[in-house]
Amino acid sequence: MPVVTVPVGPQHPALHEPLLLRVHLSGEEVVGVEIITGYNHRGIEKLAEEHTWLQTLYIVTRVCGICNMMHSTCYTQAVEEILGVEPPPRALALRTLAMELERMHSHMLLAAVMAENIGFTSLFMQIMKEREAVMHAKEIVTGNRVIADYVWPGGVRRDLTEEQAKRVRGLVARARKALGWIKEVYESDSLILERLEGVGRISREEAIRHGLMGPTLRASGVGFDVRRDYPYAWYPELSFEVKTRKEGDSLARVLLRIDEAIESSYIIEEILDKLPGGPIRGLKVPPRVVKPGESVSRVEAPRGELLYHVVSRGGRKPYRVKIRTPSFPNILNTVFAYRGALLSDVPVILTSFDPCISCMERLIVVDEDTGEERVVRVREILRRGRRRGQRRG
Amino acid sequence: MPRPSPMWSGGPGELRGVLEKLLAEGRELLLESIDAVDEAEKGVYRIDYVFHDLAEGREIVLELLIPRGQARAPSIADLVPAALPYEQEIYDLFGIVFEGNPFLREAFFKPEDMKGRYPLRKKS
Repeated sequence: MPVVTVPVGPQHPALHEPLLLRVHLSGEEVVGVEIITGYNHRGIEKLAEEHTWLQTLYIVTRVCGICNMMHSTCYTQAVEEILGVEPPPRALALRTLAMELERMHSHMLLAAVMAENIGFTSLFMQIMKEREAVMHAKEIVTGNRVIADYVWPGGVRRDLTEEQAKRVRGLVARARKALGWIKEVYESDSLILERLEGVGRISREEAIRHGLMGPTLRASGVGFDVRRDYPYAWYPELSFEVKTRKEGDSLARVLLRIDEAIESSYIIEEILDKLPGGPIRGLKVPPRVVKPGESVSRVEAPRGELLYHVVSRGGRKPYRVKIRTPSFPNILNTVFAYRGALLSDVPVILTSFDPCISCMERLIVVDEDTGEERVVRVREILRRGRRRGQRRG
Repeated sequence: MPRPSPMWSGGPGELRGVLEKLLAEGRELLLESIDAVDEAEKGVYRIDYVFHDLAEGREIVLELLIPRGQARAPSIADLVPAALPYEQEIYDLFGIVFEGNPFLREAFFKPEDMKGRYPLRKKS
């Protein structure tokens, strides 16, 4: 059977990164995937070297919209380490609170997008509706729904009143209740199980060899979580469980995220219970000049470990800011997971890594033998997958 | 936390031997990052290989120093497949060639018109 190449991407209107997956198919079966990127290289590491320490904080906050708190906290932690500044406990607790809210809404987004990609649009709508509660809670805490700009060298920018804390508590409880039934749907709906169960399976050994991160790694049975293994912010004061699953398939990756989001809601309640008093800023003015030094900072972002390596040679600008995002290995190192899957499974596997590149609108099918090209809308492929599910069911 | 002191520091000749020895001990090493810093004043590129030892729950850093005039390093992608995109990224942005990595492509990350120019190299 001739091998057919299907370029998936690079335009994904609803997603954060343009990315091209060149999928080689024998019939419906995937025999290989090439990943092509570089469509939107923003040169952020270079930008950081050419801006002041404080300007760089605003630049790195915009690396990713979904996990902007994670980026700004990770960078600020590195700078504070070099400066020798310890933020006050209340500031650390508030940062942790905002980060856990972000984890909750990010995991809910993934559950919603997965539902949409397998054609379960009503579930997508329901989850997005419930996710609004978390977005609203984040707005109450940080002042913004999405890009927070909440972290400040030596602390945070806004305090939380008793009244606001109470509202956050109510919203988080509502979201937890919703997560309960979302989990139930994912565990019991026969069509969801048909599309996700056993698809894109990654073994424990493969996950470690390929350096995968976050829920993708933990769903394959590896209990690596920066919150526990390299404690930062206010996590040493909190008790929480690192969730893992053994199955390593797409379903496990979604269910693990739902479990983590539920765990986050408990973490948020614990923070609000124990929220220490005192100031929220440890520095009166942000530093203009940072002394020479080097720091490695880690944060557990929703998609996995985020690592910053910041080098200062003294002066007003960083010498080097290395950003290693979890999607970097999770997108580029997971080529092996598609082999043996069907074309209609490709969007599912992609989505299960949470790399924000699953909403592709159209694909071009190139028949290598005849050179014939035809454009296929992604919905057609998704529909084909659904028909397969119905036939089996 | 401050940058951890490297477990090993040396030239390109020894890197693979050190890593092979670590892997032969049966350690489960999760590659966290490979990142390069242009130490222009010392005339070297410093490449940090950051691993997380899953059994011991701590990090292991290997520091590779290569002269700026001879920007070549051995690839570790056959020992640790996770290294493939990291080496690709350093090749693209620093112009350091990883010998043995089959997927080195210029302008994989940076735009096509940046070919032959390496944005993260410092002016010397």
